[in-house]
Amino acid sequence: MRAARFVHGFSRARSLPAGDQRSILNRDSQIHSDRAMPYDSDHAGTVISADPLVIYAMHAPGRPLGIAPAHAAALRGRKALLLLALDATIEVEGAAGELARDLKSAQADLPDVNVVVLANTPFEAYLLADLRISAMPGSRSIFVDESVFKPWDGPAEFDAVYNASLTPANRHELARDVTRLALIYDRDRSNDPNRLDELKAKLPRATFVNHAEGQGAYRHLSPEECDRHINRARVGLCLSRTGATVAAMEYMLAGLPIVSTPSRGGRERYLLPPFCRLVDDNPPAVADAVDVFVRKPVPKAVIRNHALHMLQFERTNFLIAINNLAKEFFGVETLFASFAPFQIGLISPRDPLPMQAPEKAAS
Amino acid sequence: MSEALNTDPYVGGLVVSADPVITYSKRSTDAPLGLASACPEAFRGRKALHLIGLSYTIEPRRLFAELAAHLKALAPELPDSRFAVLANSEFEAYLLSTMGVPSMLSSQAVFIDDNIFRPQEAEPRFDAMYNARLLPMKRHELARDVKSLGLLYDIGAAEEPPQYDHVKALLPHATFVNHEVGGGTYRQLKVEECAAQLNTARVGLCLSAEEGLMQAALEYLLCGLPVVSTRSIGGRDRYFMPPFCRVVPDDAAAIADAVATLAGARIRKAAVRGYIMHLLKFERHNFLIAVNRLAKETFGVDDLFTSFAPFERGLTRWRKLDDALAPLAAA
Repeated sequence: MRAARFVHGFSRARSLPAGDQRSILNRDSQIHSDRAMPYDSDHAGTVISADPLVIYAMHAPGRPLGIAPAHAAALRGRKALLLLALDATIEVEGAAGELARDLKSAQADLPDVNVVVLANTPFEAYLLADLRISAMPGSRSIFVDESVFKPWDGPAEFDAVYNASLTPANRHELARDVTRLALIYDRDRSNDPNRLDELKAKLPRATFVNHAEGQGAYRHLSPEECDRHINRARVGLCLSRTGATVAAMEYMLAGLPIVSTPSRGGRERYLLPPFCRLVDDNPPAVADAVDVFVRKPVPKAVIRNHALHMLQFERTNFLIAINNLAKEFFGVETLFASFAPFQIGLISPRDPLPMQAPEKAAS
Repeated sequence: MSEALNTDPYVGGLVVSADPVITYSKRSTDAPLGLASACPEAFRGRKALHLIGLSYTIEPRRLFAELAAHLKALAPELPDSRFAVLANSEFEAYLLSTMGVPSMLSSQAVFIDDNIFRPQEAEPRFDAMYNARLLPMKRHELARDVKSLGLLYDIGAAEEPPQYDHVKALLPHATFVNHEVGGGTYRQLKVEECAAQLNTARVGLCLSAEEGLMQAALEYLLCGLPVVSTRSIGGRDRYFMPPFCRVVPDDAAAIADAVATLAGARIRKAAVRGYIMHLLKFERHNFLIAVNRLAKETFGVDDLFTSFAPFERGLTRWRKLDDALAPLAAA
């Protein structure tokens, strides 16, 4: 069984065998080989197994199956299992119904493709089951690469780091009372040219890491670089109202405790005391909680082990479930002997969509 | 009162919250949807959320179809009730979703009392203990090559054919603990006594091919015993990770080898206990998040449960129906 990548704005395809890269980096809209899917620069997804065909893809607005329409055509008539991850929570009003309508319409065209939604929370799976959408819990966070995100030795320069794209939904302003604050980010997907300036005005003490690294211009960071900058802080922040927030798992694997506001969509799943503090949506509460961890640090190794233990548990059960699905659909026993085929950077460390906005130099 | 109540006045369930009404029930033959099946009149005309635990796997198609049929049949009778099946595994949640049965992943393990089952200082007496009813599905014969073997058991319901003599013939060298403590006749042990007996073994066994969660598996781990298990469906393998558990083929020699390995490894009870408590804490944390979301969705109430405490009251214990429903009367 070979894994073949066919995506990603933030690709880590370098970790794949060269042959696999060649076979998938093919812009032909037809399937290029028996184990390759066509390349598309605009979505996230991976062929996990070519025979039988198992695909992991990310649902996105306008792409209900996470794959471009041309790719859907290539799948027609092929028996496949499509594991569909969610890029945004469906725990908000109307979202589950909308997803269900989209999926039913898209699936009508692909009768041989079995789509199973990987819900980020048990409640998301509940909502989907209620709408008769095949689903099971399978958090995106279990695909974070623990060999990339790990603790580094050395003194921390920042009290807290917030790794989140510069969208209003991420509510950076809630971090304004944190004295030494670092921000890591993709640019605003809404392409709002004023967002960076607005945040600089609201958070004048913060270090905007991507611009600092680019000496004033935005520079995209590799996952390894992200990890290094996360390790420059003592605490990780999660401040949005919704989302699975994969960054939370990255913080913990790097050994950082977390301060988070209440949220929906999956990140609370891993935020257990004493390594995480859940606080109200106000800047003093966020800063106070950061301060508690700064004054009483938890050893990085302890936090990382806690995260690894949860990951091992989640992956064990994901594997059991996926093998049961493979048996159900293909009649194959124990298709995946280990989690390894899924440990190929299935998710980007941050935004799975490539940035389309023109460069905007920092002021 | 329903007919089911007259024939089976005991249920594995409880009213967890009286206002708003939230119940937990384990499925049973006479009450396939727990309290709601046993006494639908108690919920008629009032909004209620029923959490339905699975006492046996629903993985075979006929079983999850049967559960879906039960829900469909009761729905018109209780239009104000909402049901959430608590699946023991991701795959069970998937299977239910294909039938449009709303379920949440929440293993029955989260409700086990971790205060009773805990490590105790005890001189090891057995290499392995198997805590399982004396039923053919438990496949006691697979333990025949374990030289130092203790057995804990129920003897089965009155209507079931007695298996004691049969298992005794299969495992002549085993110590049948319930008969030993009864001086030659069967004696039912209290849960505290079970915990003490488990602590006299080095390894716990799980040998059925198909059942429910298998509570005994968690009891072993909570007492600090590593586990040897055959492959199974039903959800117990959820908690079986190395180095504390070994899953082996359905083969007596393989089981004995795995027992010898784990017994010889002298794994500290505290390490096994710490491992499983970490997982249970994680599972309970997520159960609480999910059940609060459901309560919000059903009743519009935010953060109804601020801790897991309301679910730590021996939820899975069998009790009289009247006792299970008592909080409703009090409210």
